[in-house]
Amino acid sequence: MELSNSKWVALRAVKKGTRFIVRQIEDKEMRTQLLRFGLAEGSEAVCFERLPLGPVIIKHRRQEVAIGEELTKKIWVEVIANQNDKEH
Amino acid sequence: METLTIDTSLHSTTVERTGKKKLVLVGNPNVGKSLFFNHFSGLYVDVSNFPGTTVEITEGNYKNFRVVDTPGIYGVSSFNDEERVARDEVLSADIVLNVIDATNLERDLFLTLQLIDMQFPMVIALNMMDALEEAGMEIDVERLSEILGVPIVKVTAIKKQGFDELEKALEKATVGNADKFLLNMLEPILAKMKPTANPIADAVMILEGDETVAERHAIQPEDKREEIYVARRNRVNEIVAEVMREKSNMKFGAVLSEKLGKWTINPISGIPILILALWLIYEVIGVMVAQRVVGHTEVEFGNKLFEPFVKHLFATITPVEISVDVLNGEDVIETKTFAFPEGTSKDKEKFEAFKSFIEGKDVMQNFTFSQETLWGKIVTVFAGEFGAFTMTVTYLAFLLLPLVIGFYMFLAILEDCGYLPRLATMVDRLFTGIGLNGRAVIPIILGFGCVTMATVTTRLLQTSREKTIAASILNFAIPCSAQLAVITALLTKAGGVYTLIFFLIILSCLIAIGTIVDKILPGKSSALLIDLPPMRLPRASNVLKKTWIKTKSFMQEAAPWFFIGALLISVMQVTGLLEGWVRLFEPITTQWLHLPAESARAFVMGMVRRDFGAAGLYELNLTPQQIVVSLTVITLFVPCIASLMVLIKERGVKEAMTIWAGSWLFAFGVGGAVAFII
Repeated sequence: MELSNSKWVALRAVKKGTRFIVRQIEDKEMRTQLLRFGLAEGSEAVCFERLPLGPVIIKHRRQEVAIGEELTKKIWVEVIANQNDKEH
Repeated sequence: METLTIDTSLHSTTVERTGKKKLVLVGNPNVGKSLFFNHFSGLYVDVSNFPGTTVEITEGNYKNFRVVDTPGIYGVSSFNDEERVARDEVLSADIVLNVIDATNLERDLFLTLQLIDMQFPMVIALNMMDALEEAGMEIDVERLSEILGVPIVKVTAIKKQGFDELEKALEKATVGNADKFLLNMLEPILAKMKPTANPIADAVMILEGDETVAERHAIQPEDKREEIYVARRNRVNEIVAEVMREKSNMKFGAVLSEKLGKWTINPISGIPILILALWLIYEVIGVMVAQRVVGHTEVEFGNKLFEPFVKHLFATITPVEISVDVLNGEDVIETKTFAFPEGTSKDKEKFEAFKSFIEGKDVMQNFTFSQETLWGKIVTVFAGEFGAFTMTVTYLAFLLLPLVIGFYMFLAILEDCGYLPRLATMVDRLFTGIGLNGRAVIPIILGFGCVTMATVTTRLLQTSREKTIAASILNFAIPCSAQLAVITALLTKAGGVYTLIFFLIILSCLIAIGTIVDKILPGKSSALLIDLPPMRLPRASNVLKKTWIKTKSFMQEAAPWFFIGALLISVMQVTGLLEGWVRLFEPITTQWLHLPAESARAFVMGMVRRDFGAAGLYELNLTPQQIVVSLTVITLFVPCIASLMVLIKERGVKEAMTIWAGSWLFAFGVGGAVAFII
């Protein structure tokens, strides 16, 4: 996988409570599905919850989406804040 | 299915056919759409199952409209059954009522913009205005309506607020402001298309690469989906940024809903919540419905009223022996046998004596029809011990129906309150190990109720591969509620250690089956990607409607197979085939499984109905070791005949027969191994 920015990390590696911008979604089908859920490359979201070895739940405004482990390896994000402050 | 859909969508519009306009309700899942439908069409609705799917379409009438409810979708396309069904209903709409969850504007407007691009005359119902307030948000509805070019009505459907305005607005349905750039791209497609109800809508689908719609017009689909979706998403975001703002902090209700959602996902709190939910299901369905309600309806209405009624009809002209057990509570206090060698109508005196004997007593009548003549055999097939007109009706109406209603009601409640997708998320990891994802939790849990019902539910899984894995696990290793009662009773006899051994055996078999099928099948299963709607109180009308629709379609689908199963076993009984099979099995059960010869009968009967098998074991005097072995075999053994038939229908003859034949080997293989070890 060619990444145009070294600051990007896989969603898999993002800690709970981290705010990030979605930069790249590798899987075409997932890209389409997420577009409809409200998330696109460039969207800002927060890692709402993550299960040990399991899915990551990201929250984007009021919308929560659970993403299985396999897919979290294919979403590349840029971390913008590692915070515990309130999301909007 | 395809030919059928081609017909409907390329025909003239419904107005021309029926004089009524077709009003289609469209919205994302969980936006409260059915409340709108109920409001418009009242009680007189027509539920139909879309060919080849479990997806139901409900239709009703309102003024001069034919109102059609569609499954919740995130966009008009053809990714799954729900979408395909909704797509065809939408494409033939005269007017679209788009229901939007005000708290989820960003998600829901995506579908709205697509519908606007398709140039349907439409009205938007902005639902859940109360929840928006709770969330501390505000929407500039006037501005939104101006941008979209469509009338918008604020509604709180659950409190029935805003419906009057909505009814008025329906008369002012307008075609909104579509994406100009997109409209320009449609021209070349429109020129090549066949005449249809909504040409622009079809053209948008083709531009977005929808193969089915393109095929109907015999043109190649374009590949512009992603480009269009990205542009649409950007427009949604711009609109939301303009019309939506934060007014205050989230109120208690919204905070609680979010917290609750989090608790159900995190295993530390989620597992206790799951245990609580399962316990509730067990208390209500297992104890209340299965033991109290079913115990009562099956015996009192079925065995004591309905069956004797039918049997007496046959008995008038058939040689019969009626043995009457007089009951006092559970105990038999007196037994008397009446023989009618020429049927009850030929011996009036004795029949009167019989009637006066049972008069005013709590009795159980056992009929033994003489099988000396062919007629006697036929009567036995239809009204004997396993009679299609007697036992099967009792079983379906008084036993299975209450259970199925109970299970579907719980499923509807859990679905409506937003718990199911979160449960799927929490258990996802467990299921990825056996080639499934968290969604499979629903059929697996249902399997403990009725494997037949659960096999139907495997349709909600995404890929054929996952459906195969789930169907295998269900039909190999999950004991249904019919067996569970007897299994529990027998295990209580066997004791704690043996119970634990039994559970470990079945659990490892379940994991082994999943892993093996996962390894054998080519390809990869899909990973979880699921939208988590806000947690909220389930709405009674929704729950009742879903329960009714699902129960009805399940009973329609499965009931015939229960009749056929009963016919089969009755025919086997009167022809002596049953005895033949039992004798064939005896060496295996005695030599290989170290079980008494009579248990062979239990296994053979289990092929038709699993509870027969389990119940047969209960009457034998088994040692704890034998209990574990026999229960292992009966649990892993072939699914009942109704399950098998549904399995054939769902997964094809080849796959179903592989599972069926595999169950034989697996059940006796594992059973023998267990018998050898313990």
